[in-house]
Parts: sequence; C-alpha cells; structure tokens
Amino acid sequence: MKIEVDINKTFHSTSGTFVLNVDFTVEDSITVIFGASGSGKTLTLKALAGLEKPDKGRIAIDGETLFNSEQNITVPARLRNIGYVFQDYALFPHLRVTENIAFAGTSWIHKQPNKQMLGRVEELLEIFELNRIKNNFPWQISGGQRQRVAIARALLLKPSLLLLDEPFAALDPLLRIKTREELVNTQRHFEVPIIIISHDPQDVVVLAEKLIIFKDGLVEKSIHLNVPPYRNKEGKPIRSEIRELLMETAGIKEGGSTPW
Amino acid sequence: MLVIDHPIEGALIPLLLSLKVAFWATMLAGLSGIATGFIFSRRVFFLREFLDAVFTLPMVLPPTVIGYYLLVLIGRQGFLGGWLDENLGINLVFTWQGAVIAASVVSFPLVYKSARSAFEGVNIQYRQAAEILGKSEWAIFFSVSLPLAWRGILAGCLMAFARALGEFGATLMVAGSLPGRTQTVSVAIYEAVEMGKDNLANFLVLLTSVVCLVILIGSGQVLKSKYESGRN
Repeated sequence: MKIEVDINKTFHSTSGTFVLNVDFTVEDSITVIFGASGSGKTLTLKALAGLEKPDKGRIAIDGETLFNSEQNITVPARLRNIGYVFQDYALFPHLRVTENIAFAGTSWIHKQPNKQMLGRVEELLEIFELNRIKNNFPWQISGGQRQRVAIARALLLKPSLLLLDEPFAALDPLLRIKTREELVNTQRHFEVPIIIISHDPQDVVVLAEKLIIFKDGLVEKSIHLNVPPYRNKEGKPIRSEIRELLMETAGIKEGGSTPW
Repeated sequence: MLVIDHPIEGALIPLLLSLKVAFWATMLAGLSGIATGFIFSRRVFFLREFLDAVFTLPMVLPPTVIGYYLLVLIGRQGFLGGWLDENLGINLVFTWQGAVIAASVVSFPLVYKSARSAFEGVNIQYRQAAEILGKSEWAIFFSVSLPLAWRGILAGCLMAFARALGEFGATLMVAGSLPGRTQTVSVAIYEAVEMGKDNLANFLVLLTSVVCLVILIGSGQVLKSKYESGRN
C-alpha cells in the first residue's frame, strides 16, 4: 500500500493566513504524523479523507488518484473507502453501539443491515469486546469504549486506509498505554495501514514505523523508525535515539525536563 | 355556571374547524419550514440573510398586513387567485382552505426558525463521519441531521400549531367569518363578544387558553435534550 500526498492549501482567517504545503509518501503499516497544534496535521488528514479540498496538488493510494488539481479530479469522501476516527470520536448520539458500528452497512430505508453485514458487526463487537455494551448509547459508555466503537465503526467496510486524529488525547494516561497496544493488534489483525496524528512523543516511540514531523504547515522530516539506530536487534524501539531525534527537530533544548 | 345556547353550533363546530385548519396549516408550514430551514443551514448563497428576514416577517408584521398581501396574491383579482379562478375554477377567498393558507403563512416562521437553528446545532462532525462512512446527502439528512434535529423541529411545529390555532387577523381578512364554514374559534370569540354571548365567549376563551398552554408545556418537554453530547 502506497499513499502519496502532495498538497497545497491556503487558509485565511481573522488570526491571519496559514499555508499548508506538505509532500510525503507512506508505505508502512503504522505512520505517525507528529507536530505541534496548528502545524496542519488534522487538515492533512481531512484532505486525505476528502473532507477538505486542497487548492493544488495530488493524493493517490496505490496509484489510484483521489485528488488531482491538474486533472480536476476530486473523489468525494463517501467513495474513498477510507476509515476515519475523529478526535472526539463523533459517535452518533442517537444510535446505540451496534447501530453506530453497523451504520455504514445500513441505509435510512433499510435500517437493518443485511446478513453479511450483520455477521461483520458481530465479529467487530467480539474483537473489540463491546458485546456487553452493544445496546448502550455513546453517552453511557467510557472513553476507552467509545474509542473502540469508533474504530470498529470505521473498519466495517474494510477500508483501504485507517486515519486516526489524536486517538489517545481524550483518554487518561493509564488507559493510553493499553490502547496503544490494542491499536497495534488491530493493525495486525485487519492488515489495514494506519496513519495517526499526534503530539505525544510516546505515540511515536511505541507506534511509529514511519515518522513524519510537521512544522508550520510543512514537512520538517520524514523518516523510518523501524530500522537502526531507532530499533535494536529484537526490533524494539530504542527510546533514547527516538527521543533525541524528536528533540532535535522540535527544537527542544537539551537539559530541559522532558515529560517522557 | 357556564350555560351555552346551541353548544354544537356555537362551540363544537368552530373548534373542529380550528383544529382542521391548524392541522393542515402545520402540515404546510412544517414541510416548507423544515425544507427551507435545512437549505438555509447548509448553503451559503446570495441574499441569504435578506431572505431569512423576509421569511421571518410574518412573525412581526400585523396580521392585517399579511391578510392584505394574501388577498393581493390569492384574491379573485390577485396574481395567483385570478389564474386559479380562470384556469381551474378554484377560489380560495372565503373558504376554509383560504384560512389554511393564512394560518400557514403566519406560522411558517416558527417552523423555519426552529428548524434552521436545530439543523445548525448539529455538530458538523456527525455529518462528516456519515459522509466518510459512504452516505449520500439524502441519506445523511434522514439518518443523521433529521434524527439529531427533530426535537427542535417538533417544538417549532407545536408552536406553529398553537399559532395557527390562534390565528385571527389574516384569517378574518382572507376567509371571513362564515359560521360552520370559515368561522374558527378565534373568530367565533370575536363574534360572541360582539353579540353579547358572554357564556360562549368565556367558554371558548378558556378552551383556547388551556389548549395553547398544553401545547407550550409539551413543546418545552420535547426540547429537553436526551443526549448529553447531542449538540455542541
């Protein structure tokens, strides 16, 4: 799976002008886009999903064009077959857990999914351990459960790519460690490439096979972390090396206290 | 004691007529108000806020002004009324259908305004999430926007019903006060007072007050949100 992104967009707001101009290619199972808030991470993810239309450029997955300004191609979001998990999950508040997961497999006329979809929904409920709460509404379940519902919902139609916007930001720190592991398992189980955006260095250390660092709307660095010096012989991430890399590019002064 | 002469002709028939007129007026205002509210919440177009003001006018204009406009429009000499009379032989003035039109114009802003703000109150992320999950505009409207906005819309429709039930000025000008045909409760009250039928007037006034109070309480209950994260 090869994801090519080369986009350009200028935003005007009362607080000034922001230019997003990013160019990167991803062929890895888990990519982390890292950067401060306001560096253009979410905008890039939304452009990939089709929720933002760039002014110029091109987006392609495995050679299939999703957006090309020169050829005037914009595939609408609903036809891209990309899974998206919003930062606050955006679970439909009027639908139960099962209904949220089955949403993409139902229509407003046929409220019941067909047999094949029903099987898929049950499989997802099982894998994400949601059976006990399947008839609850989103506001009746915990943050971690909400996230699992959001991921399950996004995976129903077997997307070619799964995008997650700050997936751990809304969780408490202890839960984060566990859910990071779960995400790695999810990636392996469904064999779907994942792009995560984050400003948490721990996400980079634990998850990233590829790291893309955003700064002020530009790609500052695009680097593989699944090779030495960032991995040891057993393939485990080497924390100190990754930490140094992040500090270098993020411009954090050595000697200052680091939270990780 | 309230003793009413001819209770059926005096009270029951106007009441049933009022309910019929208010029902159809709410239907008309409901469908057009929901559609207009949705379009205005989703699209930015030329003169949008100007049109918004025009559509809200019936809420603040004197009913006589609306009645006058309607006569100009659907009266026998009116633009639309003349055409209807000539081509289809339809005359709306002094009919209960005319009363429906008058009442729906007056109650339209109540549906339109609440529908627009209810649709605008639905977090855009829900629609985006639905879009990414493969849904078309229509599917998103019926499976996301409408279910999340229905409380506001229903409250608006209840207000519209109450308003249509109480419509007096525009109705009188367009439909007149023909007992048994166009004489609604509010018009009947006016007639009863004029003719000194105090008992009938008292009864109809109390009845109208109670019905409207029940509707207002009902719409307040409807608006109480069930979802904590349903709107933000």
